[in-house]
Order: sequence, then structure tokens, then C-alpha cells
Amino acid sequence: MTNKEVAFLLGASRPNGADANDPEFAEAIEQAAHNPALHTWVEQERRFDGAMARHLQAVPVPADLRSQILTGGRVSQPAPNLSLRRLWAIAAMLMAFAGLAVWYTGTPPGGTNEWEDQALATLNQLVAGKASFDAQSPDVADLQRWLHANNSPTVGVLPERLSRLASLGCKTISWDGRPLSIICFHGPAGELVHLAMTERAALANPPPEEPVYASRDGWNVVAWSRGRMAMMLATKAPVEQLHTLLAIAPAAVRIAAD
Amino acid sequence: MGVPDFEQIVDAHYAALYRFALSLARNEPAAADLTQQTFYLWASRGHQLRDAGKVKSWLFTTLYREFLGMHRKESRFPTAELDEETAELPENASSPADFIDGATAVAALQQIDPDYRAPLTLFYLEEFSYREIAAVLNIPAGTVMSRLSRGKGMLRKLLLEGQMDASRKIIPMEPPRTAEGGAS
Repeated sequence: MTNKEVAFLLGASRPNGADANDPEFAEAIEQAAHNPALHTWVEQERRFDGAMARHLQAVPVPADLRSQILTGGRVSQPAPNLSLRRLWAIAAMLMAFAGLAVWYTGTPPGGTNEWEDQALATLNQLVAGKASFDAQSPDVADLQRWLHANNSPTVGVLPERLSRLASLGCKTISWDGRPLSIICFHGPAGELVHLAMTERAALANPPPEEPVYASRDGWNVVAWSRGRMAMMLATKAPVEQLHTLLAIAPAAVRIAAD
Repeated sequence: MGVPDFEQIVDAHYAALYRFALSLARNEPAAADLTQQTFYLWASRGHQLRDAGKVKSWLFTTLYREFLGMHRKESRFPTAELDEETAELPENASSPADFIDGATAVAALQQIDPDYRAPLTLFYLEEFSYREIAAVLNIPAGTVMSRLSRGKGMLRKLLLEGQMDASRKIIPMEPPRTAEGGAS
């Protein structure tokens, strides 16, 4: 083996020495032991790998993650004693209920979407320069972190196409004593696009999981629920832009915690 | 050997899964979501797995697939062929090991393309051998070696050049409103 090939192989052996007895590495280890240049290279590599491993393994984990997983996981465990017929009956009932929810939310009587009204009122103030952002960044991940750190509602995983847009800033407001977050983006066609989020559990009539489109007060909006969050996307651009932005639904959602 | 119960599985793997998710998703809420989603899927489907020795691999593979589902990619990086490169040892004499801290190390890792970041993270979490990494990521073992080699080179270069945090900025304007009617 050339020195390069030895380095290539040994670079893939774990820094904690767990691969020391792997026969795949035996020849390379033997060769490195008798070649000073290789020996020095391997030592340098181990130091670097060891430092990276220590740092990565020390990354803190959110204190409440374990309890959230356990709560959600247990709730999500399949019930083994239900008969197939009973499961189908429940599924049919849920589908009928979901259909009713789509119909109901799609034609809301006055006052049922107060959080959306509040969000649109705030958007009107923002675009008119009568309200300002709480935080600004072109990177939406920064704004998500900021909202998370300030205990404001935010969804962990944005719809993919939305997550690719440059953000402007975010604002948190309170409606009826409940927090509501807004993130504003530069839309793909130049118009602004705004995402409003609030806790689904806080809503008497949350939007269904299937997006519901509407036009309200000069805004094109689409509202939907995902995991523990209710969301609304609003823009002055044609509704087709909302269709495009939601073309790829978020794949990972916090179902387990809800 | 039977599969451990749900709580035992969570305790054994949630921290490493979260760190892997954070490396991929690059923000804490998304990492927590991915981790929870993985355990949700375990709760939904994991009972089909009979071999306790495959639980860890199942969880990491599932998390990685969930991440890929979020970020479908249009192109893949080419695999580096050993023959195309020189016979010289890769440069590692200037080691950043002495001066990097945890935040710098993680920030640098997160700047690397996911094709390289995923195997590097699994490698540094020391959860998997290169063969196991290949199984989790569904790529050939030789490709894992290649990506580890090139990924480490990128990581070292980033750390030495101090390119992290170049464009990251956040400008707090005012504390979040908590009182009713705080929109105005």
C-alpha cells in the first residue's frame, strides 16, 4: 500500500480505537507502525479526530426532549387489542370528522379565525411601517432559534420551498393572551410572504392538516395545522405562489409530542 | 435477545440521535423535531423489528431518511477516486485540534455539505464503524471512506481559515411583546 492508501484507510478508523482489531485495518496499522512519516500523520489525525469527537459528543441536548419523546411515544403506541373492524370504524369516523373540519374551516362563520385576523392586522401594520420586527436576519434558522429562545411559537421544520427563501425578520404578538409568531420572507416573485404560527391547542377551531386556501382583506392566505402548530401563510402575490411554496409538504413533524 | 422497551431505547439513543439530527438540520428546533419524529416512527413501526441489535441502526437510518425527505437533493457529490489523487499523504500537519472549542467545531461541521457531514457526524459520535455508516446512509463502504477523508480535509481547512460565522448575524430590535394587543 502507498502511504496515501494507508492514510485513506486509517482515516476511517474511529478515534476511540474501536476499530483496532478490524482486519480491514490490520495491514495499514502495521505499515504505519514502521514508517515514521505515516506514524506522525496518524498521530496528528488521531488528535484532530479525538478533539472533534469530544466536542461533538458534548453538544447539549434540550432538557425537555426526553420527556417530550416519552410522552409522545407512549401516546403513539399502537393499541394491540383493537380488532381490524374496530380500527376501520375509527378510521372512517376520523376521515368523516376531518372532512367536516375542512368544510367548516373553509367557510368560517365570523369570528372563528380570530388568530388569523390578528395576524393579518399585524401584517398590515408591518407593511405600512407602523410596526417593527422583534428580530431581523436573512437566515430563517436564526429567526427560528430566536423565537424558540423567547418561548414564542415556531415550527421546527418549515415547508422545504419556504425554508429556501431569504427571511427579513420576525415578530411576536399576543392575541387573547396567547402567543403568535410571524416570520416574513422575500417571496420568489418579489412579493413578501408571511408565515404566522400559533399553538394548535390554543385554538377552538384549528385549521385542518390539509391546507385551506382563501382570500381575505386583500391577502391570499392558506392555513393548515401540522404537529402542535397551526400555521397561516399570507401574501399579496397571486395565490399560485402559495401553491408553489407548499408544493412540498414538511416531511418531519412533531406528531409525537402532540 | 428481545427488543428493549420504549423508554430504554429512548434513554440509550436519544442524545446521539439529537446530535446527529442537529448536525444535519443545523438548528435546534428542527433537530428536536427530527428526533421526536424518529421515535414516533419507532413507536408506530418499531415493534416489527425482532433483533435488538438492529435498533440503533434502524433509528439512525430512519432519522437520516426523514432528513433526506425534507431536503431532497437534485445532485449528488461525485465520489473521490483514490487513483485520481496524488500518492502524497493528505495534509494534516497544521492541526486545529489545539485551538478549536466546541462551538467552533460544531459550526465548522455544519458548514460542510450534507453528503460529507452525515458520515463525519456518525464517525465522530463513535456510534458506528465505517461499514455501519455505509448501511445507515445506504452508500458503499468505499464511498464512506472517501467522504470521511475529504470531509475531514474540508473541516480542517474551514477551521484553519476561520471562515465560520462570516455571515451569521441577528439583530434584536426589542423584546417580544407579551401583553395583549402588542402588535402595534
